[in-house]
Amino acid sequence: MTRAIAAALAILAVSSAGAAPRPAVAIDVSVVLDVSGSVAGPLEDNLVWYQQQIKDILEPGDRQELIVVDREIRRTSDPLGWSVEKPPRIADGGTRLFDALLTAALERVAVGRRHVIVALTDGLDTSSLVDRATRIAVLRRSRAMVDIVAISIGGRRSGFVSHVRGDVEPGDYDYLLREITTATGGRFYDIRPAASSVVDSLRADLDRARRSSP
Amino acid sequence: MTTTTRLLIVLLSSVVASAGARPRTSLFDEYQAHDFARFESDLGATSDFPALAAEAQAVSSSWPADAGAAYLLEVAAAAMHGEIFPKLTGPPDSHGERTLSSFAGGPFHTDLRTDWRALLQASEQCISRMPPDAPLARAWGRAFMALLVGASEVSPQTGVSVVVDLFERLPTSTRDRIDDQAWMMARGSAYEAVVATTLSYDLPALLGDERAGSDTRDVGTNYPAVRGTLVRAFNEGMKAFLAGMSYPDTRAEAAVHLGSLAMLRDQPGDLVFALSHFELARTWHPDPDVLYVSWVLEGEAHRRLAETDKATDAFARAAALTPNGSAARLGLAVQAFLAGDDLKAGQLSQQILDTPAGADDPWILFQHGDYRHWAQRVDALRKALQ
Repeated sequence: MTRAIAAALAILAVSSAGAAPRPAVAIDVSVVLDVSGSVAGPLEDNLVWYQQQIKDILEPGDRQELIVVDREIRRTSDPLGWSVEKPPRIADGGTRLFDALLTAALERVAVGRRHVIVALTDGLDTSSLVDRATRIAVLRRSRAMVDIVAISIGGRRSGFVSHVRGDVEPGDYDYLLREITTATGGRFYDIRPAASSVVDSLRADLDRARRSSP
Repeated sequence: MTTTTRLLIVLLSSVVASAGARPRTSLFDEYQAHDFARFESDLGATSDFPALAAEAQAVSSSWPADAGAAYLLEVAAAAMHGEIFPKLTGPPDSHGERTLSSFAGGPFHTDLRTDWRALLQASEQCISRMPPDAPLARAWGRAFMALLVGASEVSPQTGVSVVVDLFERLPTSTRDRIDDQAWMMARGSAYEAVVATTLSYDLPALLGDERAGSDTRDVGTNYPAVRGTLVRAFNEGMKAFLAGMSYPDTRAEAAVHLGSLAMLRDQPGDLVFALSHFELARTWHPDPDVLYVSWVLEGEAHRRLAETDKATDAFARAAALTPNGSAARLGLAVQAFLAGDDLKAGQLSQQILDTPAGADDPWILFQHGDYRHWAQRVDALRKALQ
């Protein structure tokens, strides 16, 4: 082996050592579950199923909290808390989805941990206070990664996706959701009824968060 | 009592139970007897609203007008509430948490359901048999409007607000029994819901063709037909709230709604217009909820004008008024975060998340118009009946 080849191999060895995966850190996952009237029916069951799946893909040391959102935003272990709201909600009852994402993103995470927010929602917001520009500015500056698991508005045909048939193109109207995931390095998943499970993708996202810098 | 007699009673009881237990008129009988506690309990256990609607259509014309109108309005409200309430079934999951396993009703959208419309219609027919100025007729009018405003929503499928649609078609016999101020405030709130929801998500289905274009410049509120609907809703809402400002009872709330609508439109000058109306509303000593909302919106308007200190001050005033004011706290948290105070932002975030269930933020109830007073409206209706 010539000296030149040996030097080249040494450089290669150093670079591949530099590219070694970053050590994983523990993550704090805030699951934002939409329980507003507009997600009643099979969609709500689907979202609750995802909430349970997320718990199952966490690793030791990870933590998870459940934040439910309708016209209220609250951390809970009981997604039925909304049933005590007075006056009782009628129609869709209002959804503060964007404000809930902001509230979760503003939570402080312990040093050395990574914050991931997974929103499970039909994507409709009707009652948030903070304007779009401020929302994005805050999310961009926060260190939270936001994944959104949602039914595409473009995928709706009738009765809030209860009876949607056939394959349809991804919606053109999800840009308000997609800009949130883009701003935070997360991903948007469209779970229209015909779609297959995205649990494996979520697992990969959580793993990516564990290996990214807090 | 002989064994045979006992057996007969048991058999008869089981036959009655399997046939639906009590006669269907019993709910009305309870209501008419002013046994409201029992009525509420039995109504809460009822899910057969189609049967109640059919009964109303068949026999309500023979009921006393006052009791019939009031009873049917309450049952209609229960039908609107009941269909979206989930049923909690099954044991806790492997993590020990309760889960939602299925939902009781069909589609939640008010425009996709029919029972409550039949019940409301029967209620209107009863009230049309009463003099417009009767105290119960006035109480009924306010409760009726509160309920409709509570149901304000815009269907993403159709882009239609069923409540606005109802307002436009309300029979004269019903309209005559509604105070002008209640009418104006309800109309304003319903149109405000159209504007807010449409703008909030640039609702695409207003197009009537969801596949109209993949270029977002051609969809949602930029599409001429949607823009036309939106502008009309905005103008109707402004007109209604301006009228609402001429009544002492509603002027402060109407002024805050006017400012809120202007902030939704957000054209040059709208934020300043809004701020002037929030200030004006406060000179009229609004109720605590409206006062709170005026400060929340004032904070938001100042933030959008990049007036940071004024925004923070307004949010702080709002937060001091209401212990569960999550909108005010979120406003403050965002201000702190953008100023680099992550610690304070985090603390405020925790306060929001730890708010107990059922402790509604007045900011949200404000958006439901007079429906926020639903309990009082029902109470007034029952008192007028007695």
